[in-house]
Amino acid sequence: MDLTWSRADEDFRAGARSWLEANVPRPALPSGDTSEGFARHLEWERHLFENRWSVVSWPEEYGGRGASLWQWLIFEEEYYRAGAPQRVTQNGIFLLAPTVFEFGTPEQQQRILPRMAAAEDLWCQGWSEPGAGSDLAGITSRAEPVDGGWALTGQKIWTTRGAFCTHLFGLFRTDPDSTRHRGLTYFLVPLDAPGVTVRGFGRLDGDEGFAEVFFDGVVVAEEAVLGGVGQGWSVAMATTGSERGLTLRSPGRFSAVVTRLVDLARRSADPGGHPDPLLADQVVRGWMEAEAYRLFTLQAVTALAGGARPGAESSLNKIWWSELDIHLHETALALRGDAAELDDAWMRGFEFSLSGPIYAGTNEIQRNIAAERLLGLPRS
Amino acid sequence: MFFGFDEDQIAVKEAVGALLDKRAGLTVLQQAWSDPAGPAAWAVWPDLADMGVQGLLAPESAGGSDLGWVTMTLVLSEAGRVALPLPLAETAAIGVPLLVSAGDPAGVLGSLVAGRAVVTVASGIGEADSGERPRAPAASRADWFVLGDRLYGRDDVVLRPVASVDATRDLAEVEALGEGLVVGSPLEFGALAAAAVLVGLGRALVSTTVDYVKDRHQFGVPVGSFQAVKHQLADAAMHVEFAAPAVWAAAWEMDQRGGDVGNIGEVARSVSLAKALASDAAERAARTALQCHGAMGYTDDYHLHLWLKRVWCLSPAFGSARWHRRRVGVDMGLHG
Repeated sequence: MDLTWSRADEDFRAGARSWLEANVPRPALPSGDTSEGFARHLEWERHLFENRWSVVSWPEEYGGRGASLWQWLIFEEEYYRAGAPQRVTQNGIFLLAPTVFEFGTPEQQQRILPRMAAAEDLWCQGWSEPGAGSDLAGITSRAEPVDGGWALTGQKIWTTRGAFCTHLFGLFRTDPDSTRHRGLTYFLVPLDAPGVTVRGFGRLDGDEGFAEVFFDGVVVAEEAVLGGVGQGWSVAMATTGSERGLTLRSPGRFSAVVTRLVDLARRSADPGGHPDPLLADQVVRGWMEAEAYRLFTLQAVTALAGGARPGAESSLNKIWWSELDIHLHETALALRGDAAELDDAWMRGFEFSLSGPIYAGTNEIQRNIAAERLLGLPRS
Repeated sequence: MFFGFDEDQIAVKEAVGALLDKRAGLTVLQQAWSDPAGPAAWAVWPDLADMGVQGLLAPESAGGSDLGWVTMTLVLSEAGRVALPLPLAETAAIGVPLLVSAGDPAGVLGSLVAGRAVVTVASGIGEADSGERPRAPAASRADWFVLGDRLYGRDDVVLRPVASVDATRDLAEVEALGEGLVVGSPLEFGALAAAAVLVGLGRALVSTTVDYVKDRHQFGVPVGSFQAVKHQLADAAMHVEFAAPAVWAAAWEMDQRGGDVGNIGEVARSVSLAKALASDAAERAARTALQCHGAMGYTDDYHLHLWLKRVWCLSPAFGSARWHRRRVGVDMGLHG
């Protein structure tokens, strides 16, 4: 066991920190889940790319730095420590890209990855349907073979930032006689293709961060298939490993919130000069759970660096960070007293945290996965 | 950065685990319940010494191996797994390192490492009634008693047996008669050692309950196929598995400080993190285990209660979760 960083990792951290200090926009950008905010975020994403900070762990040929997983963690820690903007490109970079690296043809990798890194193409995820949320295998959107490709028909919903993105990666049923996990195929679809209709709608926080996407005989080429016809489920599951595990939620995010929370608690003094002891206890609990997440992640990355594949323990990860995020924001709002109702960063953060146990597979589904695949309990 | 164990650490853990399975299994634990100071309960003590367990934190000059806290906590989690009814944490992970750092003033280190002498520790943190005397486990068999920051011989203490919810504890109130020898506070070592044992207890509670709910049928199916059961167990497993790395990390930090009590303040936050998470996780695992066992677990002829009661003893020992959160909160400037 060695919990110290190497000289090279420390140098990487110093480089990231000084660049971020000099470049993070001040004041903070408006929400990236509104059309005006999204445009500002795109400028930031392109600035990151030009300085090779947009995809640090990717190979240099695609715009990255070939950074190790350790350095990726360090970058994330510094990124959130610096209060840098949310990543509006994250669904492409963190969810689709790992799948393209694993299942894409060389042609697909060349065509997709550099433009994704540069925020030229903006990807959203098209999995959920009105009738297929937690029960993802209940997908009914279909793809029918046509000359030179496929015609897509159906509807996707709750597509994050769908109204602002240029492309969608999604699951469609290619075998009309199939049910459940079989007969699905993973497609990469340009949203400007004829027959696509995107309708944005508001989330709980009022931002137009969601969209419905309708497909009415949308024709795509053979090259729009990622990972083989009929292989969609296993290809998609490779992406969920990323979404629930490391790549979407690095410990640095929560450590940064904890720092703000401790600061808030110190300023939320009663006449005796200290916060309510019960709330102080909740603050420390939040610090501890964030530390536990950081250490659990170091353990997981050690295993991955040693060649292990991400497994069902990523379900525990997802439950932990999503419930931690709510706890941190609830504690902050409790410290705020009746100022909690203000539509400010804490309330916005609280509203967003409430989506954590729902998206990327509800925590109920994650508990089923953990119980069945980690503990070996029988399927219902 | 490498958050894992080396081959030697894993080998020691597995060897001790195999010894405990063979020589300190359920039958021995049940014998300890009725006779905690008896020969059956203590038979494995010299075997542990032969394997070097009591000397993991002692220098080679005292017959130890100096393998350090990471190995020590791995071994203690094995002791927790089998609910070992002996003061291994008190002797090997508190008494030995305290005496090492104090320069072995009583000249007993060699006998501890060799398994010929036993140390116990009277804690007494967070008492509701400060008039209560500190209590120590294994009181009938201990040769040395750590009380406050001092060490006393058996002839320098008065013992009054008191009943613990866990009869294997062999608990007694301890009153010191003489001055004793200053050896330093057992708090950090005790909290980290207890956290390691609690991780082992928690893991055992989850795994034994998983086995039970796979086997137990109601409504024609295993009760473990019900989501209401699955979700509780997933939560229990999650909390234990997120506590474990905090224990290993605190152990690693302790090793970086060379176990020097003078510098222990620097690792206090990490120790509190480990103990708070481990106490809460083990308590959750205990509640979940009992609930998922149904009425079967609520009997004293089924063995589950032995693990539950050990958790109830060790969760508050050397500071409860709340006590350790408060200590960190004071350090953060959040409490007066």
